[in-house]
Amino acid sequence: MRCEIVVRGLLSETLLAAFPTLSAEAHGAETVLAGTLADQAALYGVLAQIEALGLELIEVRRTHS
Amino acid sequence: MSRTRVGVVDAASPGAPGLVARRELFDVLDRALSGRVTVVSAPPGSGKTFLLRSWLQQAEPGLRVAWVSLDRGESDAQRFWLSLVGSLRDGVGDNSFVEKLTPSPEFDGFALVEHLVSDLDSLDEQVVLVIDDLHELNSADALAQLELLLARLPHALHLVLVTRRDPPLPLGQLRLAGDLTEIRAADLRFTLEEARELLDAAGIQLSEGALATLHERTEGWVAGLRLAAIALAEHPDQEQFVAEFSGTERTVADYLLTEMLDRQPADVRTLLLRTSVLERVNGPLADLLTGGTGSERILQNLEEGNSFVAALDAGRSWFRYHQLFADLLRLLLRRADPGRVDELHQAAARWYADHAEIVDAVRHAHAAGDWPQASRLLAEHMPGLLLDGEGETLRALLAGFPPDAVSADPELASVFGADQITRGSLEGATAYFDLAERQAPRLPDDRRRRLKWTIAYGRLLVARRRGDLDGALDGGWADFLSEPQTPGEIEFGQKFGQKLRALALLNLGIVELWSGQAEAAEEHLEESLELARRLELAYVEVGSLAHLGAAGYIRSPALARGRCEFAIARAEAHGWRSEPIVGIALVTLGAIELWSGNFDTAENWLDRADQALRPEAEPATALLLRYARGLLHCGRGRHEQALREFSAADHAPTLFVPSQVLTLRTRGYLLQTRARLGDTAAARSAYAEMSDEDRRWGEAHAALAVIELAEGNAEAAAEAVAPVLEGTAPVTGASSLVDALLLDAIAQNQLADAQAVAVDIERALEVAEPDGLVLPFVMSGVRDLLERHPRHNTAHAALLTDILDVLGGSTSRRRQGERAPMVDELSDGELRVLRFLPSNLTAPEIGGELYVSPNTVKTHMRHIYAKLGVHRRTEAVDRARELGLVGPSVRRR
Repeated sequence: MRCEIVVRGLLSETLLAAFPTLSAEAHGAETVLAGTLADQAALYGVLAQIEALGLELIEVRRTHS
Repeated sequence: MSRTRVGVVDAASPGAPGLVARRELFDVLDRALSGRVTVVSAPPGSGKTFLLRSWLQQAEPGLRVAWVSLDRGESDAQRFWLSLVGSLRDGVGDNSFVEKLTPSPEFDGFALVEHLVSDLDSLDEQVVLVIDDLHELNSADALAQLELLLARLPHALHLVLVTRRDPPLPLGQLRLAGDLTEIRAADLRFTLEEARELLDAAGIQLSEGALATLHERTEGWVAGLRLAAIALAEHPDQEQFVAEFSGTERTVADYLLTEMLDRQPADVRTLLLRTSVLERVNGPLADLLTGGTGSERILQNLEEGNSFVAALDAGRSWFRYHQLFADLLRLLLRRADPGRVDELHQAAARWYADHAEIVDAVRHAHAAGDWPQASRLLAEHMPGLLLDGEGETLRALLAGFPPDAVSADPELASVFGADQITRGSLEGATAYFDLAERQAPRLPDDRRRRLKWTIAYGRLLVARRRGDLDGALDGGWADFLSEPQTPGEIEFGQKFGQKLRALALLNLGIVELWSGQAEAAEEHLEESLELARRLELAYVEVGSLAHLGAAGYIRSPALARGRCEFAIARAEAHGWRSEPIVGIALVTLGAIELWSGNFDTAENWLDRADQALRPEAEPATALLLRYARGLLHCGRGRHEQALREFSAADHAPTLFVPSQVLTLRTRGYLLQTRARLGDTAAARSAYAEMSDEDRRWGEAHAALAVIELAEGNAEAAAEAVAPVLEGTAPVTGASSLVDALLLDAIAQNQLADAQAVAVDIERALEVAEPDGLVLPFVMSGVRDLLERHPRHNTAHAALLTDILDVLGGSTSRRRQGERAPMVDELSDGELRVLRFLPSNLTAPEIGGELYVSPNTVKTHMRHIYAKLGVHRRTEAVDRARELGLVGPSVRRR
C-alpha cells in the first residue's frame, strides 16, 4: 500500500529517524512523507508517531504507482 | 515503588514552575463541576495536565481530588483499576467508602465497578476523579468497564478525562443533558497575554514585537512556549533567537528542543539523552546509565526549573519526563549515539531485575532485543507475576517477542503455556508444555530443574481444570515438596521455589479434596496456608482457607462453617467479594444451611456463589453449586426445578470427570426426582444404564426404592434399601443412610409394620443428629410419620422439633429468633471464635485456625461468655444456638 502523508513544517534528520520506512520531501512549509506501508496497521503506527511527536497532520492519501 | 501512580504525584511539586494562572479556563472548570464529566482532549504539549494541576492548586482547600495517571500503553485492566481505587481511597479521605483492593489472579473489573458504584452512591461530598493520559489505556476490557462506570456514575463523583484523542466512550447523552464540559486544543492555546506571563515568570523580557512573533510562530502552543522559555533563558541574544526561530520552517518542538539542549551543560545533556530510554528515572539509575555521580541532584534541579521533568513521589526521588519531550530526546539519542541504545536498555534491564521490578526489566530486555534474557526473567518470576494478578501484563510482554523465539526456547514456551491456561485454552497450554519438555535438555541443570517444576505445575492446573484428578496427582510432587532446598535455590530462586510450592500445594489440596481424599487435602492445604501467611500470598491464603472449610465439612460442619466464614472475611479484607476462589466457601456455607433446613439463608449463600463462580475455572465447584441448588428446590418441594439442576449437574462438561461422591449423589437424586414427578419409566431406564459399580452404592439403592414406591411396590422398595440398612451397601455420607432409613419407614408404613417404622425413624434421627441433618426428612415426605413418632420416647426430641418446624413452614423459632440484636453486641473477632465453639477444637487450635494467639482466643471466649451470660463453653454453645448464632442441633457425642 503506497501512501503519502503530509505534515506541517520541515522535519529535521532527527525527526525523520522516526519514520525509517518513508522518504521525505519538503514542499514549501510542508513535508511529504511517502513510501510503501505493509497494511492499515502500519499506517496507524505512523500516524501515532506523528501524533506523539506533536506534529500537525494535514493530509493522508493513497497513491498508485 | 509501584508502577502505578496516584494523587501524591501531583501534590509533589507545589511550586512547579511556569504554572500560569488561566482564569478563564479555571472558571470553565469550576462551572463544569455542576455537571458530571469534563473531557480535556488535545494533542501532546497543549498543557492539559498543567491546566488541571494549576486549577486544583488554586481550588478551595476542601475540594477532594483523586488523580490517576496512566502508564504508557497500559494494557492491564487490573493495574488501571487498582491505581484508580488507590487514588480514590486517598482522595475521598474516608476509607470506609472505598475498600482496599489487593491484586488477584481472578480480577473481575466489571464486578469491581459495580461494587465501587454502590459504595460511592452514599457519598455526599463531591470528589473530582482525574484520569490523566487516558489515551494510553490499551485494554478493551478496561475501556468497557470505564464505560460502565460512566453509565452508573455516582452523583458525588465528577470525572475528568484527560486525553490526546477523544475517548471511545459514549458521551453524547451527557452532552445532550448538559452534563459534559469539553476543553479542546483551541481553548488551551496561550493568548498573547498568557505567553507574556509565562516568559515573565521565567525572568525573560522580550520586546513587544519579539513576543508577538514568538506567539505567532508557536501559535500559542504551550509546549512550544515553554521550550522557548527554557532555551531563551540561556541565550545571549534573545531577540536574535526569536528572529532565527521565526525564520525557519522547522517544526516547533524539534527546533526548540535542539536549541534548549545545546544550551545545557554537558553532564545535563548526557543525562537527559541517555535516560530518555527509561519510562521513569531516579538518581542511581541515571548514575548507572551516565557513568557519573550526582544525577539525583541534577534531576531535582531540572524538576525545579524545567516544566518537562516531574517528580513522581513526595520525596522527589523518582521522575518522569513529559512524553513529547521524552520521545524527541529518544530520537536525538538515536541520532547522536546510535550504538549505545541497546547497551542502555540492557543496563536498565539488569538494574530493574536486581531491584525485583520484573515487568520493567523484561520491557528493557525486549527493547535491547535481548530475548534470552527477557524469557529467562519471565520464567524465573512467573509464579509471582501470576499471583500478583499480572496476567494481562504477562500477555502483553509475550506479544513483544518475535514469533519464532518460542520454538527454540523452552523457558519461554513454558511461560506461553501458563498464559494459555489463563486464557482457558488447555490444549494450547499442553502443546507449549510438550514443546518446552522437548527442548529442556538445552538448559543448564538448575534452570532445567526449575523448568521441570514449572511444567509440572502447569500440567497440574490443566488436569485440575479438566477434572482429571488422577492425572493431576500424577506429577511426582512428593519429590518437589519434600526436596530439601539447595543453597542455590535459597540464594537465587527461593522466591520462585516458595511461591511455586505454595501454589502447587493449594492446587494439590483442591484436587485431593475433589477426589475424596479429605485428609490428604487438609494436610496440603494447611501447608499452603502456612506458606501463604509467611510469604504474604493473599490469594493462596484465601484459597487454602476456603477449601479447608469444604474439606472440614465431613469431620465437622461447625469447623467448616468457621473456616469458610473466616475465608470470606479474609477475602473481603482484600476487597475481593466475588472472586471464584471464594466460591467453594460460599457453596459450603450454603450446603451447611441447606442440610440444616435453613433454606432462605442457604439461598443467599448460593446466590453469592453464583456471582463468584466462573464454571470454566472451577468446574468441580460449579457442579457442586448446581447439586446444592437442586437439593434446595427439593427441600421446597419444587421438583421440576430440582430436576433441571440435577440434570445439568449430571451432564458435566465433556472433558471434566467429576468425583464419584458427587456423581453418585447427583445421579441418585436425579432419579428420585424423576420418580417423584411420576416419570418412573425414564427413572427405571436411567437406573438400568448405571454401571454395576455405581449400583452397588446406597444412593442407587435409595433411588430404586423411590421408583418402587412411586409404582406402589412397597415390598420391593424395602428390599431395595435393605442392603443399606444392613451396612452391606456403602454410602457416600450420613445423609444417604438417613435417606435409606426414611424410605424404608415409608415402605414399612405401607406394609403396616408400625414397629419397624418407629425403629427406622428413631435410627434416622440418631444418624442425622450429629450433623443436624434436617433436609432428608423434608425431602422424603415423612411428615405424618414424624408427627406420629412418640416424642416422649425419642432421644432426639430437639432435632425432631426442628424438623417439624421446618415442615410446618416456620423458620422463625430459634433459627432467626433473636439473632440481630445479639450479633451487634459481639465483635467480629468474637463472632469468629464463637463459630468454632461447637467443634471440639481447643483454644490454641482455634487460634491456629484464625491465625491469632491462644490468649486472644481465650480473651474472646471470656467476652463471649460474659455477653451471653454463661460460664462454660457448652452453655455458651447452647445459648448461641438458641440465639441462632451457630448452626442448630449440631451435637457431637
